[in-house]
Amino acid sequence: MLSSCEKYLDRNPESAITQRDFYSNAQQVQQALTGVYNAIGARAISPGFNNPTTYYSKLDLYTEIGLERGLSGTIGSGAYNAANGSVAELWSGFYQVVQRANNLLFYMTKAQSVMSAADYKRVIAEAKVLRAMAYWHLIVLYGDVPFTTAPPATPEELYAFAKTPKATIVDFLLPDLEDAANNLDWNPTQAGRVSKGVAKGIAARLAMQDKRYQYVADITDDIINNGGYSLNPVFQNVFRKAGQTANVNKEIMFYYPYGDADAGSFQYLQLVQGSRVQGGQSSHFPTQFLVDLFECTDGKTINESVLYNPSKPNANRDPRMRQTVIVPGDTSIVQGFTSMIFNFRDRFVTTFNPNTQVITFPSTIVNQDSASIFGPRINGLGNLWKKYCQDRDINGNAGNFYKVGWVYMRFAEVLLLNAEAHLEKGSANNIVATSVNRVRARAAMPAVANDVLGDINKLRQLVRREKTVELANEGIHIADLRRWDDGRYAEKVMPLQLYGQANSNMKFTAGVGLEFQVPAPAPTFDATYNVPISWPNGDALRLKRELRIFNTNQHILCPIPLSEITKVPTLIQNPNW
Amino acid sequence: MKKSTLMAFILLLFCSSLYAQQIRVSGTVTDAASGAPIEFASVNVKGAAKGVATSKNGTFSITVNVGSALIISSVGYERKEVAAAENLQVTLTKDGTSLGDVVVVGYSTQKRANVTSAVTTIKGSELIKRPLASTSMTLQGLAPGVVVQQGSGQPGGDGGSITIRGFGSITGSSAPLVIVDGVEGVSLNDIDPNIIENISILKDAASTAVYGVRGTNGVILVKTKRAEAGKTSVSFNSFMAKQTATNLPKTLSAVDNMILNNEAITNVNPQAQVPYPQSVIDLYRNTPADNLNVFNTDWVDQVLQNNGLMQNYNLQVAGGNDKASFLASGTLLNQEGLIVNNSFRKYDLRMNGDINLTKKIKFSSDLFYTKSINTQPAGMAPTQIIQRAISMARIFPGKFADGQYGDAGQSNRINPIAEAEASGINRAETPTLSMRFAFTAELFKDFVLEAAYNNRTSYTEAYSARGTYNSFDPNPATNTYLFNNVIGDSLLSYTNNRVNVNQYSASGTYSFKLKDVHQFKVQGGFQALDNTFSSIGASRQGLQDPNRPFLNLATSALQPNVSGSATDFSLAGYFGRLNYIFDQKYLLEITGRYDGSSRFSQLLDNQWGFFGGVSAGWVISKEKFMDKVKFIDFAKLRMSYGELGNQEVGSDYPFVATMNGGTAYYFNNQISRGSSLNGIPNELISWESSSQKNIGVDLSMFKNKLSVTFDIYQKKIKDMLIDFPVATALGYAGNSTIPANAASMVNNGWEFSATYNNKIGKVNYSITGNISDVKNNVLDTRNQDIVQGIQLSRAGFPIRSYFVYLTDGLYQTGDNFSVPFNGTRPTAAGDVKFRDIDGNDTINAFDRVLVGNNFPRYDYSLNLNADYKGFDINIFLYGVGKRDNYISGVGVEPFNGGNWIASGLESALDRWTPGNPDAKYPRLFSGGNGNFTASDFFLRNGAFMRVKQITLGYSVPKKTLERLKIQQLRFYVNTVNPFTFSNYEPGFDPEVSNTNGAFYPIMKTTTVGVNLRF
Repeated sequence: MLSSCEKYLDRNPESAITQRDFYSNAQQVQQALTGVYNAIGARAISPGFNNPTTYYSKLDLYTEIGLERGLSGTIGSGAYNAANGSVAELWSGFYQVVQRANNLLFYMTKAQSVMSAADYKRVIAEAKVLRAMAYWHLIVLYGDVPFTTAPPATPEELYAFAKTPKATIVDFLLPDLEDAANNLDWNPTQAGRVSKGVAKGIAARLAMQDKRYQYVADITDDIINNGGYSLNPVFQNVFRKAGQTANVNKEIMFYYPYGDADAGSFQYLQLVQGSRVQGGQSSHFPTQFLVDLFECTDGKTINESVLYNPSKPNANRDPRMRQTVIVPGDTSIVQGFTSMIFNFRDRFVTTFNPNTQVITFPSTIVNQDSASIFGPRINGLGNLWKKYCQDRDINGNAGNFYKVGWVYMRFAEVLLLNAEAHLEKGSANNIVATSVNRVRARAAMPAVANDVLGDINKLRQLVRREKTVELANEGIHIADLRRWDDGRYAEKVMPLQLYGQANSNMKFTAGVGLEFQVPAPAPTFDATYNVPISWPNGDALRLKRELRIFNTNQHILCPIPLSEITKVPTLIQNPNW
Repeated sequence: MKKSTLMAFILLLFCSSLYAQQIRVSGTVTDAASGAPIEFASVNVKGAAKGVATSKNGTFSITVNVGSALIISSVGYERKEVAAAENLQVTLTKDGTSLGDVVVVGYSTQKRANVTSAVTTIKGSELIKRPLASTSMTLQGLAPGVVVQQGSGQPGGDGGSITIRGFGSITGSSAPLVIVDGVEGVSLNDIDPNIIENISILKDAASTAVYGVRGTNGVILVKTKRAEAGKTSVSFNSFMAKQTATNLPKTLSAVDNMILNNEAITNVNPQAQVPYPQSVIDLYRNTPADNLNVFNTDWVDQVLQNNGLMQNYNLQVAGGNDKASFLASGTLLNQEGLIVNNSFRKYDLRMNGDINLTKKIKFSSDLFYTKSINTQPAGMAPTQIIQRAISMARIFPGKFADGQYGDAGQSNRINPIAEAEASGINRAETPTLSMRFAFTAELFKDFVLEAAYNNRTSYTEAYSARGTYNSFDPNPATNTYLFNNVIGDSLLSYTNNRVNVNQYSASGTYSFKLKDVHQFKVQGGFQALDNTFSSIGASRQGLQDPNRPFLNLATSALQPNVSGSATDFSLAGYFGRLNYIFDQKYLLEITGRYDGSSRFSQLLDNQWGFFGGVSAGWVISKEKFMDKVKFIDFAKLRMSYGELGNQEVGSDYPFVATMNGGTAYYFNNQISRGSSLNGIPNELISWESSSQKNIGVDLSMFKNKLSVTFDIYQKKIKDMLIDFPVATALGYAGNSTIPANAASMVNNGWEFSATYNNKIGKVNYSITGNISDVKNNVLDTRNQDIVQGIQLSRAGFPIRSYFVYLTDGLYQTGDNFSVPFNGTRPTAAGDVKFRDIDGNDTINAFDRVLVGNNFPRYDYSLNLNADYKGFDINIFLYGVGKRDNYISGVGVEPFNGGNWIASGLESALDRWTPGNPDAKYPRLFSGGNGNFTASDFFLRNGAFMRVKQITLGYSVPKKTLERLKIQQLRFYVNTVNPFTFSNYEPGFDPEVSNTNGAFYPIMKTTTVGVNLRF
């Protein structure tokens, strides 16, 4: 009677599937893998919104090329502490990827006998690639971090664990990724899945972060030679809905393909980056540093080029500038009227009819870009992000409904990783230039000049500049910022007084574009890195934000979230936090 | 011969005086009223130390001298002297105390005098003296140590929450187990008081140990009425009541609203432009409201416009013979709210049948059907509607003469009058059917077997059919109203829930006696219960007409949604009980249960546990030395100890981790279902456990006129589940806690109850007073603070203490305002002066302390009954001696309504101004500057005394009724909550705790009723 009683008491969740019962067939294993992708993809920065913007888009705002609307407490400002919400959100988000991958890899053995060997191995491979990608982010942000490859085996492991050195993590993950690459195809069956190329690309990123240049050079050579990838002839199309679909497995190696049929599947980048006049609440801005880093069309930086004119700073510039950043004078189409000319200053919007070329100023429309705290004047520096805002309105609806996928990895990054690795390991300069020139050529920029080819320092400046401008606003630059010259680069570019565009009346002429009435002089460039570091007479002439704080020995890594240190006393806080 | 005969006769006489002639007396002792046999009645020979006790059937036999007198006594009955005779039929009359009553205890019954644990019994007749909608509220104040708190007067939601001897858990449930005729899980409010015979409340661990993992929080046993053989009766009880709010805060007048609002703005910036220029204020001062240019909308009055009528009808029919008997009872309750579209309706039907299959085997069948229908507005909960009504400015238009709703001026334009009248209907209909079948068989003498099966199904069909309404703006120029906006949406949500419960029980009881003075009762049994819950739901936008709440008429493409879920749990246990009584003087009871719950890990074998209790009693009054203490009729000392479990841990499967199927991803721009683990499983979770010591005395004095019960106890609760945060590095970002059995606390309390019965001339009266207290102290939470809003549980303090800043009144002109508050604060005279506890010259979260507590202390009541000829009167007082209550939101803070434009209450006139330095409230400040941060400034004294009931009844004389063949006809008038004495925030009810202005007032009612019995 007792035993029948015990059966009577054996109850398990009815309308929920338990961990014990799950992972037992191919379908469930695939679902668990999708759950890992979900953790990679749905990482939200969505204060007040139900729908997410991937927070990879926030990572560049912690660097010299971007900033957030918030004045203090942001990671970029340096005026933050270990209780910072973004620090905690990023940490827990990437560890969620690790947890889901670990659970899948640990429990899926139950299904091995009911899955085809190829499928089984492919699931393992995909999970390992996603896990490694999360660890790459964790290493970049936090340095040495707790490292696990399986769910906790004992209750003690829940409360006591320590950091693993970065090199040890990379030592484990590189062979893990090679193993994964062996079980993946160059071309995955579905857009949105990781591939052999992504596995190798993540390995390259990880190895680069530990300065294993030979490894990076070899593996990126392999991707370039054998992956069948190519650059899309039109740069902007990589960040347009229609262009992305055509680009998959060509330039785009890994991205988030929002659901076409699913009304709830969209991101808010248009909102957080967009102009206030267009209904955006811009909280992501590029810096003037980035704007000024774009070369002139002669392949020279603005401090060196004769083509640069402070009155017409947008003229004769690397075309990628206006494909990456919306600068004053840019024309864009706005809901409700034909188009407007971006102008952070005037009280009324300047409209423009592209058919008749008629400019109307002042229009009757109040210029919220000038007046609103959500606009680019009060809390920005007079610039907006254009990348990921190329498509204004994909559904004919308000701009918030936005289905452009976030690009996790594209071929241009592999080319530039390749260039940097060859440069740093001491390969011939023409080998370095080959990859760089492919990227520059697509942007209609001249090939690496001979004087640069002959000067390793100038070549390094160019490779780094190329990487910064080509990949701006893609969440990758923070790794370079923190790696380059062990913080000496960051030390130069981070603790700057932030200045923006000239705070001047503007004049627009059809066919000519913008002219600042009171131009601000070009910035001074740093001798070592050839990047802008000061903006003369900026207080008087330019828009101004805060003076950023950056103590290299502290800010080169983010702090481990304070609550984690409280919960796990064995976890040691990063230096000087 | 004659001489010798005479001698022999003399000798015989002589002998008989030495060895008197004896007879054997056999007899039966029965209850005079019911005819039921009285067990263990003492039959003593007067003047001799000889006596016996009656058997289970009330029989006795004793050999006595011819001519002896026998004294028959039994606790709870008036003693009786009878002359010895061979065959005696003795009937005893109840003495007015309850000592002879049969008390229902777990799975058994006992005579009151023999009960050794802390058990309070309440007769059904006490409950129906109170014409209330919720049965739980009829228990308020009747049982010391049983705290019944009413939080709302909303129809269908005005039941009391019952806590026996303090909180039993921090994160789990503290609700007692309710058992109705052996059936668990029925809500007390589902049982109509008219059908209740009596209620036993088991309070200590020894009495509840027989319920194992469900006994921690006490047990309420309800016994319903059954028909008596040979008696046919029909009774009809009814009342009709008019309900009004006990208390409502007064709102600012239109003019005061404008003046104070201006003041709030200028306090921020003296140069600011005020929203209401003097010309507008003057216009409002001098012009009567016309609802076009000048408004004076009494929102409260317009929202609370329903009649608040309550009606209750109960009809009972009972009859039968010694073969079969049957009782049927039907009740209809209809309770209208104060808000339109807000009502509660309940139908009860009960049929209790008994069939004596043979003399030894009885079959019982109880059928119970109840259906409740709960209706409220769909757009907004009634409490929110009232919150808006008491906080909205009178200068906004409410409703125009032609029935159009005014644009109430808020950011979301919601008009509470329209929300009540025109936002659609929320309706939940729950029929419940419970069937119980039981066999009782006396297999052999004094060995009784009982087996029962019960099935209960409950099926809730609920919908929320929202509709839209139009708002209008007045256009004074044309004297018309302009359409402004469509407010609300047209979402239809449908939910069906089903609960199915099976209960099985079997037990055997054997009673026997050794050498007349050793009485034993041994019981063993088994019980099992399984409960499954399932639900489906669907919702869709675009409902065309809220009066036709059907999904096919909701046609929008937006938000179609379907959902469903199911859970189950089961329990099984073996219980046993041993009662031993020596000479009616020394009493011992041992109970135990080996209990299992499906809520704990099968793999770790965590499902089963043993729980037990022991209690002993000493009837001191039976001791010889007490014979001299004449004024004491009965005295008993009780002691008990027991250990229990609590399986109400908040989840049916806390030991297992489940998969979340909602982690989708997109491949090829198409959605793909994903799954991930919801959290970290903790297989180790087990029940919370408790132990309880109890010492009590029962006294009956002065010829049973005064009876007193006193209990003192300590209840220790340990292994309480609390959530431990784990690092998010474990990967469960949103769910990073693991529950563990870690916290402990103690409840120390005492309970006192006294009843005095007497008569003055023809006036019979009785007074019962109850008072109890329980003090909680959290012992250990492993350094985790358990936060529940502004309440916090921490070791060394009572559970759920307020965690707030301390204040030193208000700053006055000339004070030093230098201590910053949470960074920045524009401090000035009239602001709340927070205390810098840690002395670091800044006020921040670390300056908060635990102060005050919401749980009632010194819960007391006084119940007076008197009757004179046909008249009867009952006065019932209830109060709480000590309690802190927090008031926040629109309850105290003017001009802060969150997403609507709020005005203030009349109390806001007592705000600080330079001319009113002794103000009760801080200065006005638009947008807030920290004054209303949770602090002791807004802790209020929640102690109160309330006249809960006054009833005056008149019974028509029997002689008049006899002609009509009516046994009883009584009319009564009653009032509920007529008077309240308290120092609480004016306008708010001290019984409702922690209000932020979103509340439903408790009702003051005026009732007329009738009791009719044939």
